[in-house]
Amino acid sequence: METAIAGGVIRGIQGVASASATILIGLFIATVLRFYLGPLGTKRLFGGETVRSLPQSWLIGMLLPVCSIGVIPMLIEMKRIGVRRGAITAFALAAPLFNPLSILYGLTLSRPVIIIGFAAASLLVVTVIGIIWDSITKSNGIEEPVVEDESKVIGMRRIFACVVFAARELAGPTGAYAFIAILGLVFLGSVLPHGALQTSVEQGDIWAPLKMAIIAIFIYAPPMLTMSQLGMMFDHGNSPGASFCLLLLGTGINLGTIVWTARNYGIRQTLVWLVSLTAIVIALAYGINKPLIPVGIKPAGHTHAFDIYTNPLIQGTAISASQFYDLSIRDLSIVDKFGLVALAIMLCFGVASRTLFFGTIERLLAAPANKEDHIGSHGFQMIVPKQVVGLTGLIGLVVLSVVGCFAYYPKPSEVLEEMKIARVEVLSNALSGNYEAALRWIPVLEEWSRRLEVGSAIRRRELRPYQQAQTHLLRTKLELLEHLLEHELDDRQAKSNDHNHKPHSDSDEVKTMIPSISLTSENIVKAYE
Amino acid sequence: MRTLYIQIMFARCCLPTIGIILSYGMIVSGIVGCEAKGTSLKERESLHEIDHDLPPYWPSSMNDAATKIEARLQRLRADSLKDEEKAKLFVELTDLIEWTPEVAADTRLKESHWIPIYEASEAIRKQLPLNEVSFKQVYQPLEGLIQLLRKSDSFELATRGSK
Repeated sequence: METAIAGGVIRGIQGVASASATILIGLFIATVLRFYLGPLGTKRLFGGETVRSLPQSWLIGMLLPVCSIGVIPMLIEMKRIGVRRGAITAFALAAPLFNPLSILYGLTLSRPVIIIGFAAASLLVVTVIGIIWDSITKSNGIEEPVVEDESKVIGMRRIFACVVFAARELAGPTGAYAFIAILGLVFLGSVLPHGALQTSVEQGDIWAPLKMAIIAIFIYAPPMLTMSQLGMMFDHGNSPGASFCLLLLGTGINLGTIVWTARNYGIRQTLVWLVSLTAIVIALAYGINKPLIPVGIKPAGHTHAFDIYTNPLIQGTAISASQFYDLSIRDLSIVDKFGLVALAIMLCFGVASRTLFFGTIERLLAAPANKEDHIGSHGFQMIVPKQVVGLTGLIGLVVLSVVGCFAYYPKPSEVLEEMKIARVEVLSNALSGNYEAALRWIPVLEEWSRRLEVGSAIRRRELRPYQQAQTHLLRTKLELLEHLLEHELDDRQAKSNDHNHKPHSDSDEVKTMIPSISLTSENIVKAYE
Repeated sequence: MRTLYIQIMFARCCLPTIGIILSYGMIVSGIVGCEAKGTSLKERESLHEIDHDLPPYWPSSMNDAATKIEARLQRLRADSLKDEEKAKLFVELTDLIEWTPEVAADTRLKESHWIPIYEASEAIRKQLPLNEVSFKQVYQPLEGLIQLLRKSDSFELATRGSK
């Protein structure tokens, strides 16, 4: 019981950390919609009542770097303003699925045609669901509300109003729905024993897409995590249909978005929406399950892609406070830690502004117009229309995410340096018997090998088959090493419990892997230099 | 007052959700429970028991790949093979062709020398999976690939020796 609760909480904390950055981005976009674009501008941005509304909505969604939790404050705002319902659902589903970073990452994972096929099929689903949702709400005679533009303040007061709005959203509805979404992860982490999903989605298993569809409803996954999971599934020869279900239902929606839809559109309509979405996704998943099986990849009979949704602790083992800290906080990336801190500060401000300082803040916001609000249009002291400011903010975000691609995927020479450090850590720790440390560095090296591919491709406009073959080979060897080290750790554990335990003879195999990994690393340097 | 608002809001959102999660969770637990019946963690000797086992005919070098492809070609030319045997050989041959670029990449062979092997393998791959009809079409290219693999293997050995 203790393991189940601790495991669930660890998964919850990891989930919040991975969502933190995209929640903040989502809140930022929601404030832009509310205080800058306003009702008219926002409706126009999402295509208004025109036929291009659905494709326009998913296109904007694909450009913005948000996840299925980060999209919630935007949905709340879009609903308040009265954006067409089909457009809201198209945006809600498409925005978390892909963004420039994840698409580039995805293209390195398996044959590009598979990822492009997945993207096309996803957009088909999004469009069909948008049309269905529009027709359901129209047939029920639900009209979009007409909202007056509320924001009259300008200048610094508007910026302050934006911060207050974002913080209050986080300490209010957005925070509540995010909490519900994370509850799904807590639940899975508590009920599923460590590694329980390793053999659930095998290629030959006819039920794999269906099982994944059922489990995926609980899953909250940011786009980059899903991309890496899809890659692992293809590398291990798992069911492509199950991968598709994970992408659409695991990344596209979460418990929070389902509850938000139910509260805003009613349980019956939400059920129709959810059942239609699940049915279409499952039908497509079964349709692509056979044709997309990659040739030449031998099914490994398992996958570690979903270990992250199961309990991180082995049943029956006692957990210490330091272990809990290591698993929930220490192993987080620097970006996640930073995001978590920023989110906590914002949440504290939000709670304070809703409770202790509510009156003071309201007075500040409602204070009579000051001198700044009456600046005339002379010289550089002009009032820029807020739509212009808002659109500049959104375009800036898209530009920033493209720039972010280049920052996230550095140039090959820099990545090769990082890989050198990670490789030394992996190999020296594996040789000296410090297997836990080696196991911590293996995913780091794998991650850098993928970034090397993308970083090279976006700068040199090419990724040669030899380069791909070498990085793929490195990851294959690292995975084999990972398994060997895990065996070794198991043996150590078993030996400490039972002195007569017969160990596996893996330690020699570990030593033979070292020169092999070094050779591939040398080849990688030659290939990418 | 404000605190009360937050409490009510969380309670209104969270309580029904927890109810839904618990009931839905029973289904998931059922699925995973049934799933785990055959391969429960307790039944397994180790948590990491499921491993990446290399197939027995995985080639250890380019020369070994050439030998293994050649052996299967010769067996397939014999008329006395049963259908199951033939099908098995086609599968193995398909795998070997697929693996060839990876085996060649796992050597000190330079990129310029690796490309011909990759291209030869890719050309043959277009005819995959192998069967009676496609086998006839890839027979000649396969002979060429075997030669190329042997030549590259000796070249790579010589390069390694000179270093």
